Amino acid sequence: MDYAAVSRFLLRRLAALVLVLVIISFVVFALLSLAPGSEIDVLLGTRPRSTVVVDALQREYHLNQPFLQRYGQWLGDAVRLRFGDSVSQGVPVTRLLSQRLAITVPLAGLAWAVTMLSGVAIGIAAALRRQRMLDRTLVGASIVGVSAPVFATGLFLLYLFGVALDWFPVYGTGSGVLGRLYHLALPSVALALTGTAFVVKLTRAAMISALEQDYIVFARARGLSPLRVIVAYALRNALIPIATTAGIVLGGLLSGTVIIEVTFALPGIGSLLVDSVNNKDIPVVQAVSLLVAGLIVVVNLLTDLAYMVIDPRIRVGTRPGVSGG
Amino acid sequence: MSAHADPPEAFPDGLPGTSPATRRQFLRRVGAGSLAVAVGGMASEFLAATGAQGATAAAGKTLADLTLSFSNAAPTFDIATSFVGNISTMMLITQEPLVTYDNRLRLIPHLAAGWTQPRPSEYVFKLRPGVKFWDGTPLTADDVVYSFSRLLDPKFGSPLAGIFSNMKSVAVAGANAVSFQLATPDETFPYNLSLAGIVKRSVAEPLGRRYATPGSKIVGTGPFKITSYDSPQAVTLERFDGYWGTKPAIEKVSISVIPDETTRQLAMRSGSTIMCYDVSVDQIPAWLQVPHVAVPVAPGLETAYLSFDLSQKPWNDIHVRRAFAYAWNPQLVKAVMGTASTPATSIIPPGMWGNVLSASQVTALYARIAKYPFSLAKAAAELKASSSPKGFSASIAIPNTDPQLEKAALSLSQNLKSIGVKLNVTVEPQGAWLAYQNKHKNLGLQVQDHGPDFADPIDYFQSFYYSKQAVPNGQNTANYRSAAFDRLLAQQRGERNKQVRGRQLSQMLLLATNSLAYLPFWWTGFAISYRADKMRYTNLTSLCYLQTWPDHITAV
Repeated sequence: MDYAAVSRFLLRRLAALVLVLVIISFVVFALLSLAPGSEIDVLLGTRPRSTVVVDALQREYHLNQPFLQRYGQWLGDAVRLRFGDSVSQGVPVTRLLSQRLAITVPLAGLAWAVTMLSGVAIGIAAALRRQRMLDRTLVGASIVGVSAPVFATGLFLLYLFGVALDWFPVYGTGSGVLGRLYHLALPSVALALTGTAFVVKLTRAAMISALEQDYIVFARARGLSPLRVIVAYALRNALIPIATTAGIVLGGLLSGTVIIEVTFALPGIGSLLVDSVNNKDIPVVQAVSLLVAGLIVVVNLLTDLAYMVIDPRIRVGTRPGVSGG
Repeated sequence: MSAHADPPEAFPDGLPGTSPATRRQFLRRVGAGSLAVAVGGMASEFLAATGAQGATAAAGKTLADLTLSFSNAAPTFDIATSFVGNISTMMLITQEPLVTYDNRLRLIPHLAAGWTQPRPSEYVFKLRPGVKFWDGTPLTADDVVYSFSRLLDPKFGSPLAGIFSNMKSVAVAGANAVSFQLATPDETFPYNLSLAGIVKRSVAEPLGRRYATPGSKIVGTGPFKITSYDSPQAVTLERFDGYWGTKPAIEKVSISVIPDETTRQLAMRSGSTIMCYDVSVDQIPAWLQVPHVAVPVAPGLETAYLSFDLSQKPWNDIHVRRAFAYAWNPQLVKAVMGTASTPATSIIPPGMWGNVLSASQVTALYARIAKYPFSLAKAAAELKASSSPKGFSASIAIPNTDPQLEKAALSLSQNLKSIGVKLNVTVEPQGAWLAYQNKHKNLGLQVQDHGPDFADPIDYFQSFYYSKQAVPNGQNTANYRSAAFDRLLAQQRGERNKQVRGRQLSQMLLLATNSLAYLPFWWTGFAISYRADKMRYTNLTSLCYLQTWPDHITAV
């Protein structure tokens, strides 16, 4: 492995990450500033207002400063990892984020694990029984899973497993590692249903393509066991598109949990972002946007690095046509 | 001088006749639910699912854990920094106010033993002896002074500053007494004190705005002390055995936040929560499907209405306004919200008069209000007599957080179409809708859903009819300006004779409603839900969040 090339690749990606974050922060800041309404409306509502208090709040949140000056101030603080306080909640943004991430990360992680494990397994099974009843049933079921609205499947799971069978709690986050996992089990399954269909179809297609290759015929002819043929040969070669899908699914899960969070009463990043946008809570929206953007870029980077592990012929950081070391 | 006696020890069961009901609602924050309160007792409609009827409280039984859920989280336990959502419900059982409401929604002393009014612009509140904070230290006048003086501190930036803007100063006035000096006389000033909880100065002052946020120290005098508050989504309270008042029949309160109403119903069904605030009136049928659930409903004090900008054509034409009034079909209220809400005849609900008039006086007063029973023929006749006899086009924007208002506007639009008025209904994000209203320009038609801050009609009058509120950020979206009305408003402000004030307010009601500056849609009922096989809630009032509401709960 050409470590120098990989290092250069990583540095370029990190530089790109910084550029992406700056652009996103500017665009989000600008859009929120342009949106109708004001933070003062959120804080004071429709009650009688004291001009003294309005002035004080405007000074505190720099609302009377020009847009670029406000953005510059925010950027200067953000570089030093100072994101200020939430306008609507009055607590440090970093504390809010850490509390919410403690819910969203395990939720998304569990959902991702369920999606990938079940999606890959079902996709392999469907590919091996291509055009037969099992294939049609599995693909059909996964399409039903992706078509059903997330809140509906969530409520259905809640009723069945939380109320009727009383196997899982109806709401809440639990405490401790096991308690947290127990409370997140149902929501992660509900969340996983949508991505699973996507993984099933892609895995099935990739496996079918791999199973049609000559090296599979040769491997079977050599007398290798079916399991070895499927895992070591077919799946290994089908992993590149699966790895790509895994990255996309994870990115989507980290940023798209709001409906499940509302349904299962989980105070995660998704609901924080929606509430903050509605409340024009710019410090929180900025921080969450940067966090989500950063996570997605990092996930993509990890996906690219995973390619190198899956397929040693792939060399990141080198120009096409130049062979690696 | 007037004096006010100590409150009765226990709340009487049931309410007389058409009991006054008061309600206060925060403007719904986008995405957040709303806290609603109702009057229970004899005047209320009590709805219960199968199996819940006949449940009676066992005397002396204690509820080990009241698991209570709300639709949204209050970011703090200090109403002085955040006046949203269900904050009052949580704060005022931990950090109590000087005054509260009885079951008839009359203002009564609470942490105060009573008050006097030595001068028109001065109130002196004597503190109740023997009140201790959770740490065993006594409540002092200095704590009360700090609790209120911080509201006007610009550095503190309290959302209550506007409400207390007439308070010039607050100071210690002798042993265990506090004096409030007002800039101008105001007979309704004591009501405001029911909104603000008393904090311990030595704890709250060093923390400033961070006081009572998750993880910070909180000390109060309330019947429940906070034992766990690391995040607004989950709070645990335990009974304070050193409480000065009636010991609640609840040992522990576990508060959780469940934003989705269907999930709250499932939680109630599973028994993981046994009481819910934030029951939407249009969801009551769904709640009643949950076994063992009781849903007390009471006439609320919140009004949904439409305003006409009287400074613009064609809204300055009374015939146009009457055409709209006749075109509004109140049958929609029942269709959308069942019997929980009542078609309104005025934007001031009758329940607002409990501190001013007797029930029979209120009934007689409301009988004198001009009524506009649904009639498209009359609507057409009014339009024909107006300055726009051939009809016209107009638009109205509805906030996306209020689907009931949208239905009302669409129903009205449909009826108006038949008489030649084209009303275009659009739905907007609440922030944008509110921002436009606050600009107070070209208001045209506006809709609103208002709940008062206290049980006195002046809350509505000074918000919606006072000419000085016809300004940016003001709530007089009708731009109603009447010298006669303003004169009455000023007169009643300093009127200490209750009967005279009652007459003045009655005159104001007739003046206001006859102008038809606002078209009232309905008075929103309020409901809570609870597991009737676990507990019972008696005498639900619309100001329960301003009362020691755990006193109304008994174990079954």
